[in-house]
Amino acid sequence: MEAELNTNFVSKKELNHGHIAFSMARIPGSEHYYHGASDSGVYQVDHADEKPEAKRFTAEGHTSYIIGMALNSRHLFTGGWDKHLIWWDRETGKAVRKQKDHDKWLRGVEISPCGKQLATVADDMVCRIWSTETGSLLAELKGHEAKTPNNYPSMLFCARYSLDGSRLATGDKVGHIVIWDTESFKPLKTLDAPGHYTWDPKARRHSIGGLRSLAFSPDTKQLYTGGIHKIGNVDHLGAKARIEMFDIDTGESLAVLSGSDKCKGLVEHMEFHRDGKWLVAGGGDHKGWLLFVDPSQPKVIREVGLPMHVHEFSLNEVANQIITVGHEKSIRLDLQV
Amino acid sequence: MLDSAVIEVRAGNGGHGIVSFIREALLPRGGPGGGDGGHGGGAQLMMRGRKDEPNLKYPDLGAVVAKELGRMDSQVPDYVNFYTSTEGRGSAKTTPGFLGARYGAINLYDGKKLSLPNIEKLDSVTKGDHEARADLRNFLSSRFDQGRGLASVKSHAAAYARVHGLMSCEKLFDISDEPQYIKDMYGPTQFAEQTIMARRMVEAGVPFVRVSRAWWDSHGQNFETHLEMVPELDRVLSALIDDLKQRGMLEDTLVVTMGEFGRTPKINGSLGRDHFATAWSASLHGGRTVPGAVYGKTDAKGERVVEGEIGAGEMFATILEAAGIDHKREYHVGARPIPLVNPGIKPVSELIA
Repeated sequence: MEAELNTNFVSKKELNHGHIAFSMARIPGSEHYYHGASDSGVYQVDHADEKPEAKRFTAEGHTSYIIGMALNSRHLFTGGWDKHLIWWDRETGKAVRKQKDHDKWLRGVEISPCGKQLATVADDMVCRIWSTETGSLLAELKGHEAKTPNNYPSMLFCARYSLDGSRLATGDKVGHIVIWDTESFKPLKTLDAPGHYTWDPKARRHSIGGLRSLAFSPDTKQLYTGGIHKIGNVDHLGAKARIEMFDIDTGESLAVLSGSDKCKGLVEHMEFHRDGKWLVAGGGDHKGWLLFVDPSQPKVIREVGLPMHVHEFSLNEVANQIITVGHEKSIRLDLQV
Repeated sequence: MLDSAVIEVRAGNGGHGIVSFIREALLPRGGPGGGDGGHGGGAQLMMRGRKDEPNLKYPDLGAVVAKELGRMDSQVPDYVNFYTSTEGRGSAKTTPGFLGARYGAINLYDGKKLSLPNIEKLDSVTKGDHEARADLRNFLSSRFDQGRGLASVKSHAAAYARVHGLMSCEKLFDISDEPQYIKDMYGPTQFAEQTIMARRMVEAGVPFVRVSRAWWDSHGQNFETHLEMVPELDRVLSALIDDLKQRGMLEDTLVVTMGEFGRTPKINGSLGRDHFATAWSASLHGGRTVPGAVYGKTDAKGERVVEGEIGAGEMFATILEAAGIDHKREYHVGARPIPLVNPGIKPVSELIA
């Protein structure tokens, strides 16, 4: 079963770049990617090089962590905790448009599969949809509460398009999810995954975690949500990573998955194999991991430990290579074919 | 010549930080150093301004203020401590030290029912009966004391009066009669409610109230932690200052915010910050402080103090002076004079008006 799923890695190539890489965007068909960093810089790396280096792509632009990134054939789009969205010309490396996109920290930048829509989410609990062709604002999606049930600020951590581009899901700190139609921009469905909200009412009266990542199954029938299990000690990311699987039509939670005790922390990103054979999730606490899930069972079928918290990764088109970015390192993993 | 030492180790309540031991001449069992990155040692040091000696437990700030500013005939508690979250209580225990239990805190731990423990009037006793009993006791006591003038009788009567007063304190915990705009100023959280109660207590004459907001120990996800906790502290603290000012109380009330240490400038692999006892901040408002004054400076990365480095002793002395208490005062334990702060420790004069 495992061999069929191609999750045996035959090689690993590590790049120590020294900063925290929060976001990445890979150029299709290549090992060349951009990543957004803790020093407000955008870097580019070609992991095909014998000795890959993180080269600064831009001299200036953001003033805080670059937390979201996407690209199309012309532009690279980056969003940061400075609330700004910047459009970069990929040829010249110059910012062609810089806008204050949100009133609070920007949390994610997603591009639709056709490349025509760009979605940004932020702690102002709004998802904005931009036309990448005209630059115009297509919609403002508001479906998330600003406050948690305990009267603290909520956070809109993630957005994700379905593979056919017809749906967009947004997810927040308390585990509330809205699925939007990407033509009418109307909400089609709401789901709730309160197991991702780690509020500790007794010992410390606060929470960390929340719903951090989303992935549609290739047929758009299921939605996978990523976060962390209930934490006993909210000082640390000291609980197992948590993946919950929903039937979108019924809203029913189909399964809650986690790995071993070695796979603690947040699920920061998830990707499906192009044929839907498996799902891979990446994240971590002070270290990192990749978790492979067989959706047909559903269960975790493989864990791969990594030396750093993985903030994002990219699975290539033929599902035989994963490039991860995270705390002070980037690692390319080649899968056995 | 060989140097040797026998180290006696006892587990404390402290956390994950560096451990050190006091190594001073003629002090063979110096105990944990504290204030060096562990929760327990750090909290004790900041609350007492110095480390305990093996045979001498120092009082914490609340106990000193209770002794210095409390009134013998007071009918409200002298020292109240709110700590309703469970984490960290063991590290930040209150202690009257050598001052004794008279100046110890009333610790309020139950977040669901905040009131003084074991003082509720029995339901079977009506309010009228309760008052009548007190009047009868006072009458008999004063008649007994006529012509005698015994200190023990007076002390007994004072203790009764104090307990009777404490029994009427329940209203201090009931903030339902606070105007809505006051509640809105402070916000809707438990920390906000307890701070309103603290203000009511100070208004009623309680000399020292500590409100603890656990838990800032952000080893993981520092930024998410702060997005929850910083706006809350900002709102509650500014509301308290405004509230005290509006009531004409700010000049007579000192508001101190502090923790047992700071956090590392460098972000760790879990996007957290770890314990850092090399450079951190505290704030003082009201009392005899100079409004807007800033003392001390770190380097650009916050990794070390480059100007105005002080320790817990200087901080303790500064708080005492800002509260109108002479830091040079001395107590006595037996025949031994014990100064309020260790010899040579001075307050930061730049912060005192």
